Amino acid sequence: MLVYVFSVLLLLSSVCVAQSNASSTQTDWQALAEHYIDKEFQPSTISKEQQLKELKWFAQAAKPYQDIQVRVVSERIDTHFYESDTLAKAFYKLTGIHVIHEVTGEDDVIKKMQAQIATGKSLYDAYVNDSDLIGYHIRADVTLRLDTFMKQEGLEVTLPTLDLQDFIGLSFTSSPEGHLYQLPDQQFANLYWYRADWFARPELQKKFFKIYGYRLDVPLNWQAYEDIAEFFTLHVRELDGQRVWGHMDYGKRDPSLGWRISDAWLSLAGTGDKGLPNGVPVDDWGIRVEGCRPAGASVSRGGALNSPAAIYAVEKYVEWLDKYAPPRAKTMNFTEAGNWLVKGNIAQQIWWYSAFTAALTQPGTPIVEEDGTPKWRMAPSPKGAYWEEGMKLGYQDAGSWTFLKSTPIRRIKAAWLYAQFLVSKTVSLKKSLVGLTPIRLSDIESDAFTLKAKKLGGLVEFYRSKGRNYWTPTGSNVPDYTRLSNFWWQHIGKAVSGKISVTTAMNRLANSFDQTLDEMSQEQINTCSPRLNPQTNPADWLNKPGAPKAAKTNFPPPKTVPYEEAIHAWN
Amino acid sequence: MRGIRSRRQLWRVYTFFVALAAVLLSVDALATENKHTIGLVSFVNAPYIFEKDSEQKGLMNQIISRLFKRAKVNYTLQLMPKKRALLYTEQTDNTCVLPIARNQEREAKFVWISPVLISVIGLYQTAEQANKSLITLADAQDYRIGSHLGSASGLYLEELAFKVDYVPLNSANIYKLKAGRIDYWESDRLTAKYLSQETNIKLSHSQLDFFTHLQAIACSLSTPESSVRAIRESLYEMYHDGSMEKLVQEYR
Repeated sequence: MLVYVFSVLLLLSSVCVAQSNASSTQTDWQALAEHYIDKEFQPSTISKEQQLKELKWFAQAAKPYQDIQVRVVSERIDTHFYESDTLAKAFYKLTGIHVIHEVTGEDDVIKKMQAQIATGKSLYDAYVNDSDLIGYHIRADVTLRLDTFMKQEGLEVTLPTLDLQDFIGLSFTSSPEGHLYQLPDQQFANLYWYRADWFARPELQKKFFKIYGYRLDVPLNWQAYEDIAEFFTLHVRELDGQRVWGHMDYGKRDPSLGWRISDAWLSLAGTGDKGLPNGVPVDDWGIRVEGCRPAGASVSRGGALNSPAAIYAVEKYVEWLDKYAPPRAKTMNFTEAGNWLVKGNIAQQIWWYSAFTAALTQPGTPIVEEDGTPKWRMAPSPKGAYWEEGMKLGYQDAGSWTFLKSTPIRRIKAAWLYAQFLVSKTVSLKKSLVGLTPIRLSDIESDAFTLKAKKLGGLVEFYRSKGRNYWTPTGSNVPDYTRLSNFWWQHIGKAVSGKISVTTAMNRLANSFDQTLDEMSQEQINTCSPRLNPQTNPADWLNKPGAPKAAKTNFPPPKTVPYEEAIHAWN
Repeated sequence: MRGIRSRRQLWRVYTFFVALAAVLLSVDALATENKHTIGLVSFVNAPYIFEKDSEQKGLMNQIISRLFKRAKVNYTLQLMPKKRALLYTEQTDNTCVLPIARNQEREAKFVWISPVLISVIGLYQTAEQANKSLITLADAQDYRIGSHLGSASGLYLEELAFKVDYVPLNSANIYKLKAGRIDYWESDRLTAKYLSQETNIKLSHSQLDFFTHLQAIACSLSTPESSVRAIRESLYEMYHDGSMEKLVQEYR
């Protein structure tokens, strides 16, 4: 009997200890969550109570997956460094799932995803992959369809407060039928960048007017951009004792040269057709689409990649690089050229990613005033001679969570939890303020962004405008971005170095595209796989309305407008 | 009779032409085979490729042997220092160098077959020093990390402003680790295991696997497309049928 009583007492005491441990663990977790909410996840568009509720949901949903070490990979920008260094650690402490968030070059991210697809070996549990690959994801049957996943096997790991309608870039990551393949994590636009302080100097305004006969202001078209480039490089030459240039770009023959053109440069020239997101039936890569089937890139098949407009676009890029950029620019790649604006010797740049906003607003640099406001502004990109109303206005990049079917489903679920954590309303606004690559409308419209607007050179104004819908990524017409994108730099690089003419480069490029589309038509068997149009006389296509457009002989006169008026174009 | 003689003659003529055709075909086959012989260059990097008793050994050696046999492409293999191997391949027709990290700088200079090796890079300590507190790579920011000249992962860390100490030979890092002259050693798993066994210095498990490198075969731009395609397809087959995993498993 004594033994029995003793056993019962022992059992009771151990239950009490266990309960007290559990309760103390719970208290610890609560304190930790509150610490993060107070110290790291502010500001937020939701209340602290709502943040705590979301974090509790993550902690609960993560329990079955704590044995998994999640591996994800993303490109090298400020937003992802913040995720990798700070948010991955917070996620581990709050949920027990250890995430290795690798940050590497954009090119490497794509090659790693390609390697997983080619070998079937699960390398990463999720990829932050640009939405430019959407055409591949919807055709290749290797990518998890998120809308289905969230309703079926991923239901119990899908955040009830994810609020998909709040994401501004979902159209970029969905198929034309509206099926969601990728979840945006960060996005940024390609815009015009210029030194507002230099443009405002009376002596420069006077000199510019004397030479060109109109105001030195934000250029609306390429003619004006060219004049301003010439003005600073050849006529101004020196400002405040330093050599200055009217244009910055890069031309080294490596994969980053491809992005320079494939990220909508041809659309700014006016190569494609009207219609959003990419132009119908000819898109901003010069590919004609029939229904959803890519039908050819060369003019002889109804495409526009070697059309007069495309040749004009690349000729201007090469000409300006030769004439108006610093001499070293021609041997630079994207990363090397990206660091130049901070030096404070460039007057304007027609092709500039807003992802660099954080780097260009660092106090103490020659391009930031003492009060922390930038000496520069971003504005809509000037348009080329073939551009018409109703066409896309520029490029936007939406790095998005992408899951491959070859990854084991348990690992996908654990990685999906992490992905949602990084875009949840609990952390999203703070992340957007750190990396300046907003993805949620609620963040963009927040008071925090209003307060910050003055220091961001126009970023907030852009994202609050309709412009965010007119600046679009590569569209679903491009059936295999990775395979086709290599041709851009390989052919155009030779034109930059002067080995071949731009016309020859574009003819070869269009031919490579057509050949590859033809190969794909035999490999991809689905309703949207490529099917080439027969070759006909190019003149037949050039004489029809729309793209491919016939060569222009009359170019519009140069035009500039004040900054306030220029940014109205976004609306 | 005449008819028989003539049939014999016909038979002789027939056998002569058959023999001639056989000789011509075999000469042609030999010529085709020779045309597709690729000169491979690599560099000593144990346990991937090294020489022992005048023989080339190592995981990469085994992979090459299986891969090229499957692709029905003949090859020769010679070892030389890494920098020279890269330059030699760039300038010599029908030559490939391996294993090489594929990067933007090199992309335009070669035709690529990838991944011939997938290396997970981690931060290692000796078993006694093991410190379990690394959750993210940023946690290692204040520590000295040992690397070796030419290491792509060393360069990666350096670009992220980590304190990286380079040595000419990777094997020196394990001694530096033991002597406390570095806090972590960045290494791939197989090399860490191999050098630990060779030096008899016990290592911890990786404290953080922070990067995955895809190693490739980089071929000179003149390498025949048919050979490149055959090797590439065979490589993917080796992953799909599990033979690549089996080879790597022997070294884990």
